[in-house]
Amino acid sequence: MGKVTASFISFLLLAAAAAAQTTGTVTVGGRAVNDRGAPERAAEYLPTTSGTELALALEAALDTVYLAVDSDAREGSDQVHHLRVELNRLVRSHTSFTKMPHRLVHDPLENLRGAVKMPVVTWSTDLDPTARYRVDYDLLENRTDLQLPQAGWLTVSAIYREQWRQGHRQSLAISHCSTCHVQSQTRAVDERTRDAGVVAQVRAGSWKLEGSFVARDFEEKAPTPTRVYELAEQPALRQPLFNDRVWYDSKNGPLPYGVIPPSEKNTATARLSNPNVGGFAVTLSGVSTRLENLTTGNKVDFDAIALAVGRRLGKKGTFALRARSYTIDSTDYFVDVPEPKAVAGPYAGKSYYERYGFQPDFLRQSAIDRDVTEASARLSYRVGRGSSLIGEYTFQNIDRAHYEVAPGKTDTLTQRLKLAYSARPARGVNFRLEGILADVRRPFMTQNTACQTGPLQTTPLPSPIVPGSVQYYEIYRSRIGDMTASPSSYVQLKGTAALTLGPTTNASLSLLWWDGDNTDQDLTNWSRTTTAANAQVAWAPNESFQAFVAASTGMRKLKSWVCVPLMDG
Amino acid sequence: MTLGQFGTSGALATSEMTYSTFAVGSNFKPGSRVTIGLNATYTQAEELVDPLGLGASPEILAKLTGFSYDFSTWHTYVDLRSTSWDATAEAEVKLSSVLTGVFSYTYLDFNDNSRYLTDLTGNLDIVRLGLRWTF
Repeated sequence: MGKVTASFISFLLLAAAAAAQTTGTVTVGGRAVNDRGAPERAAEYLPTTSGTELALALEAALDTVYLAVDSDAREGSDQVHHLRVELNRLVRSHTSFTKMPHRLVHDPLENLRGAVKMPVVTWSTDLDPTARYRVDYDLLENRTDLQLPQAGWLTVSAIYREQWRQGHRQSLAISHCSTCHVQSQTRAVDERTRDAGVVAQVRAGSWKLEGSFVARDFEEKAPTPTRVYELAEQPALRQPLFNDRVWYDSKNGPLPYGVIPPSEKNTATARLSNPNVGGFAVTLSGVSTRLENLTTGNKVDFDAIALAVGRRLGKKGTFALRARSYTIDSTDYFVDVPEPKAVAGPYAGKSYYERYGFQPDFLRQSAIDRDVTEASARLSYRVGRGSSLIGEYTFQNIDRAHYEVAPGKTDTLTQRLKLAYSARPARGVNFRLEGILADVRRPFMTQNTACQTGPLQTTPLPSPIVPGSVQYYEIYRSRIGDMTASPSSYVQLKGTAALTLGPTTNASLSLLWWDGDNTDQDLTNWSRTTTAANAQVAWAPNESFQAFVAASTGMRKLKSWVCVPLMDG
Repeated sequence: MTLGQFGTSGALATSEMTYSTFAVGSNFKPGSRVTIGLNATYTQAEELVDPLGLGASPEILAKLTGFSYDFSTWHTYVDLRSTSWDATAEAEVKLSSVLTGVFSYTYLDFNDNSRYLTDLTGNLDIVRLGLRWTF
């Protein structure tokens, strides 16, 4: 790809330079880099090699052709190129190519030693302990518009986008036993995402209709990593007593994990607008997408329709109404769990279900399946010279198809009220104050997914091998705590000011405070408070000197209940 | 001997993230042929978790005969603290009506003061020198 790009740009440079009406710059130089320590943060998106650099910017305006090239090639993995071509105003084409590195952190997994004092049962194995990870990112984008003089009301565009991610990253595979043993190894990355589509725009009077169709395909061409899992055995007795509850182990040899399937996504859009229908600006739009996993055939459909209406109210006011409704529907998936029979112990010849009556098969239905309706109404009014008042009410109702966020309830209703006031009390002084108050009824949370209040009791079906033990499905069923990272109410206050301190000096200041919590859960609470402040002073006493000073600071405080399972084994 | 899970230990976890950034910059033309630019940014960021006061009822602890838990250092595994510098000095000198000399020096520095992951401390010096032809 790099050779193709370089050849293409060289050709354009030579062709354009030969023309009489060519202007531009060519910069030839070199770069010397001295790096010390780890580059993963200091040079996260930068090359660390020394070498030559070439930059060019040129424009060539010929009789029927306009060419513009802007190119900055710093290293093989750090390049930005733009090309604009116009042919007699019939064809307008813009192509860009970006390439940059992204260095990734290698986690030594030392946190696995953080909790259990004795005996240590959680451990990790790193098969590439000295590996350094990096993924190079390439992006090619093109949009070409065609507009015929005979049909000036119609514009047809072709769009193309191709993204590559190539390199290596760390991959982790956990053991059967709830992450007791984590294995790390290097995983190759060779992803390609390709979008191709067409956009058509039709104008008729003050009406404008725009439609598009884009097809995307994604493929990971690098091999899927594998792991040999531990032998399925009772960890203390070292006997094959767990064969009725473990599907696979070392006897199966290397098994793939972290499989990334190929997928396709088709997106169709339509948008009809008119700035004046009886005094109203109206936009009606719709979107339909289908994402398909090409390995399993599972699909996710997204369909949306939206309406935006706005108009002036007299000389001082404006009104805007926006509404949108969308659905997400994904394929249900029945998970038929293999149920091997025990090969040793008192239950030899029986499956786990036959012994304990627990049915492990289940129908997987996604929490993303939903019907959503959302709308906002916004009213602004100019109360004086340089002063205006804005009020906005927004609501969103999410009704999930399968997932309950409270006992017997699948819907979340969010209502938000915003008030803003902006003013210019004196010459050179502008400020804006904004307050938001929001209430969320039944916010997203997971029910009964953490915490037990007391010791688990031995069931009527205890293990005869280890009397007093409990089964995992009993542990799961005994959880009573709800967990969330979503607020049930929040308040946001924001203030900004812009000051002209003199003929050569400007200053700006902004302050933000956000506070939200969720007290709707069983047993556990969640809260978050965020504050941020920014200030800047810019000074330009004359054309030969400009300077600025800026500072920002912020804080986020998060409180969340934590439950740690206490395991004896 | 493996017995299983006998309960949970719960506590309110509190984490606090703070950041501060200070930036200065200027552009100066001491003469008709020379332009000098200076930009520098300093950032300090940290995310700290308070020690967890995890505990469990005596009935649960009495069943944990083979294991002992110690969460006293747990919070230190998720602390993140860093400071970083990003400073650039650059100059352009007009050598003739069509030729301009360009120079820049950039210093990037990241200090990992809490090495939860591997030590990410590192810094770079980048010097650039070039000649620009305008046509």
